[in-house]
Amino acid sequence: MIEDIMNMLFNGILNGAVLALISLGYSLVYGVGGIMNMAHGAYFMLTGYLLLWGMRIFPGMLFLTVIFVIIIITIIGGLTYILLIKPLQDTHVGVVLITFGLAFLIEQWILIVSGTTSASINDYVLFPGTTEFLGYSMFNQYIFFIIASLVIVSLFALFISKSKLGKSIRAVSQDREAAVLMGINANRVLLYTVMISAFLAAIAASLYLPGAALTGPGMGWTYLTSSFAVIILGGMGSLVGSVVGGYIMGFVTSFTSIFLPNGPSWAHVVPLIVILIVLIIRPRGLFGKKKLR
Amino acid sequence: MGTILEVKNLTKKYGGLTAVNDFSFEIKRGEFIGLIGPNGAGKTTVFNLISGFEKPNSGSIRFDGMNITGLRPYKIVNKGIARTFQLVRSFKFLTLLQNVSVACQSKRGREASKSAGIDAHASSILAAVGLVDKARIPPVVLPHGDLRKLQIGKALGTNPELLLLDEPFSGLTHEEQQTLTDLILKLHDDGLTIFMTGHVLRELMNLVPRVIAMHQGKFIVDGPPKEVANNKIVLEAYLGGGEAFA
Amino acid sequence: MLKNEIEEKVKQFPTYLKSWVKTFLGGLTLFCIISLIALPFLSQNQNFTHVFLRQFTLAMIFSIFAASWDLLTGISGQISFGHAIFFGIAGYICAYLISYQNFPPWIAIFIGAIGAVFFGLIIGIPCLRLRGPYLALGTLAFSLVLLKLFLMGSLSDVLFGSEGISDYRIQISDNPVVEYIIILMFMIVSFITIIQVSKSKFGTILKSIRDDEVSADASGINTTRFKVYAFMLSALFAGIAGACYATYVGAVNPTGNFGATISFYAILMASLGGLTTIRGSALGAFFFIFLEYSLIVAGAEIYVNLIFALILIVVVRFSEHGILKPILERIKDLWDLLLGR
Repeated sequence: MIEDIMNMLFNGILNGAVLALISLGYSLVYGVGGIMNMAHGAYFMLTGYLLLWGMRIFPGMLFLTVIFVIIIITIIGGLTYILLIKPLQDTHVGVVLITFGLAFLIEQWILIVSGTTSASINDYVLFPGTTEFLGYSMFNQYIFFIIASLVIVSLFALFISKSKLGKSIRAVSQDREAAVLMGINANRVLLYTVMISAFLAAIAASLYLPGAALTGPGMGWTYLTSSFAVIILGGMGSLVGSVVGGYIMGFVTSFTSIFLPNGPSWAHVVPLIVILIVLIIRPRGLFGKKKLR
Repeated sequence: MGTILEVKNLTKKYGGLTAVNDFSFEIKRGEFIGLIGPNGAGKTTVFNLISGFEKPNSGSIRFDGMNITGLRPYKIVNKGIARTFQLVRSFKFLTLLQNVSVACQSKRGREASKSAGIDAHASSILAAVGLVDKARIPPVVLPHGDLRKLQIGKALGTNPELLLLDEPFSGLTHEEQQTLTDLILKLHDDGLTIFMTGHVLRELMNLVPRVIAMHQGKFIVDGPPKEVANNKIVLEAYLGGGEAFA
Repeated sequence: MLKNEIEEKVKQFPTYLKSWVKTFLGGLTLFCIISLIALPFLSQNQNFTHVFLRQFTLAMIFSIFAASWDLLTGISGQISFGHAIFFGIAGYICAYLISYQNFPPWIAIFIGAIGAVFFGLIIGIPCLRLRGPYLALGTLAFSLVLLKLFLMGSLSDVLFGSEGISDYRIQISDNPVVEYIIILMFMIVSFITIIQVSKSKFGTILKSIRDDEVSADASGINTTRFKVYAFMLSALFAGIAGACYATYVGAVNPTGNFGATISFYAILMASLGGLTTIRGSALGAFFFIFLEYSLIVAGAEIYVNLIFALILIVVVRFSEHGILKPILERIKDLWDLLLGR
């Protein structure tokens, strides 16, 4: 029983840390540009596979590979904005369709190269070994990831509130027209925002996935819908909301999978139930100020 | 000449900001009234509250004796209040005729077009606002003045008793303003009650017999334009807001 | 009102038909329909009827499905990324009724489509609080969860698990020509209905909601109600397609009928043909099915979806209206040239 509770708490924090990082960027992009990037989950999935391939090609250079992969994903994020989103950003349908096309393309490409079977990248952890706490053994990589996630979220909050770019991001998200009138280049701010969101997804994936498994190219969609559930719960465009929502969702999911009968399979359904409940009771989410657009 | 619209103690807050503060007034059937105030005075919020696009924190709105406070917009339209928007809104991929015919399919619009049929009724409205020769084109290619007329046409399609015009003259050339003024006066002569906003007092001065002035969400004065123009608070509000009358 | 409109349409139909056939679009459509009707009588060859003709049948089923998506997304502006919900539900109901309750196929297809409409209602209502891209993700989430429920081992007594239902009796006819003709009838009726709906007053209201929902509200339109109608109507045709597909395959299973890929096919086909064109959906579906077929024949099956994702990106990026309009314009130029206009 105690082990179950420890298990639930630890997994809850872990899931929460992943979801918070993914949803933070996702929510930011929506808040700043009203853009729904359907390829966001694909960034996460692609990071895992790039890591897998990178380590096969350059064995023994784990740290460098991780950094390299994160840089590549950030650049892909930037290219997504410049090549696909920017020309279409006036039409919601266009942006959704084209980023969806990109996500589908990445998924199919991985499928061709790697097949549907799941792969393990357990050998590519930066911090091997486990630590015992109250008789419960925890994976060092995950402990590091949880701490790193908290640090990144705090640094991110600092960045948004203090730095010049962070202030521009806030300005554009509050009132785009006014920001443009004040001489802020909204397109450049959007570009940076999409790159930051890809960067955060890549960090989450490269630190979390080595302990879990690559469950196939379709996993991007699962993370996309989970982070969607998180931002619905937390409130569209609210950064506090995505972090708090991420942790709430993390705990609910781990509680379901450990304590309910047939839990692990029901855990997949949790995000939808959360979406439904929030939509019916409080459509703007926990921390949302704006109404849904 | 009964009361058509009765607004009592209307209040709307956004977080710490009170956009409309304890606002009350009455409009009689067949009147032509202007609502003035500097930018940000809360005029559009008053319109949004009356037309149901926002819900008040407190206060009541009665139309024709019915309480319409907090009803959904389409229900308010179906009671007989139509509105236009300050920023022109239209169905950009539909023709002008279709734009108006959508409004003709609302509850009151259907009743009004029962005898003539919806398309015929819609084109008679387009004729009334002076756009009948452009019935088959979409609004994207229209000049701004025509878009304002289309807005009024769409509002008329719902066969209203009270028409709310939000800043109908903003962004128009002098000539466009003139034709639009003629149109609005004609609608009023035909018996429509009209309530319109404007932030330039001079525009309204020669048009409406009665003006309500508001500033920072509060009611200031209600009366004939001359009287309102000489009101001390109104003068201060405009000068303080950095805006001249012209 | 609606009744009068229909009566008037019926009365004017002969003259309307005559003038319609003379127009370019009408003539071309009629040509396509006649070719499709004539096709099965061209050859008695086994290979032709059992392989080639079957591809046409499949393309027609997906034409209906893609057109139903276009009705919801292109015409009404409600972006759906979970259209497989309706497709799958109707397929499952149809297969269950035939296999377990011994229903004749045509009644099963009908009840399956009604079941899809019911799902359109219960999914439409909560989803209406979502707009634009959020609706896209909301419907995607819905379909993924339904997929997972159907895959779930613990529910396999009720929902048949990952194996689904498989039965030789789940078919319209064992003669592929009869099957082809029946599906063709379904397709013609569905397309006429969808195109007429989109042209009608009702369709104008749906389009007005797509263009500016606030303005539609201010025009006295109960937008919520019309959006639910749009969901239900779209679900009806998606359901017909889904039930037909179940009979076409002779089996249903979660990934094959509920999979996200199914929803994506509708999006791909309709956007390829061109949003809001309805007819473009058919073009997209035929293009898709036959490209897929040729790739399978060429042994490059694995690249099918990759190629389609690329095509989708290129089409959405560079041609806002899909490929139908540009193609039609080229043909019309040729047509005018031939007639010396």
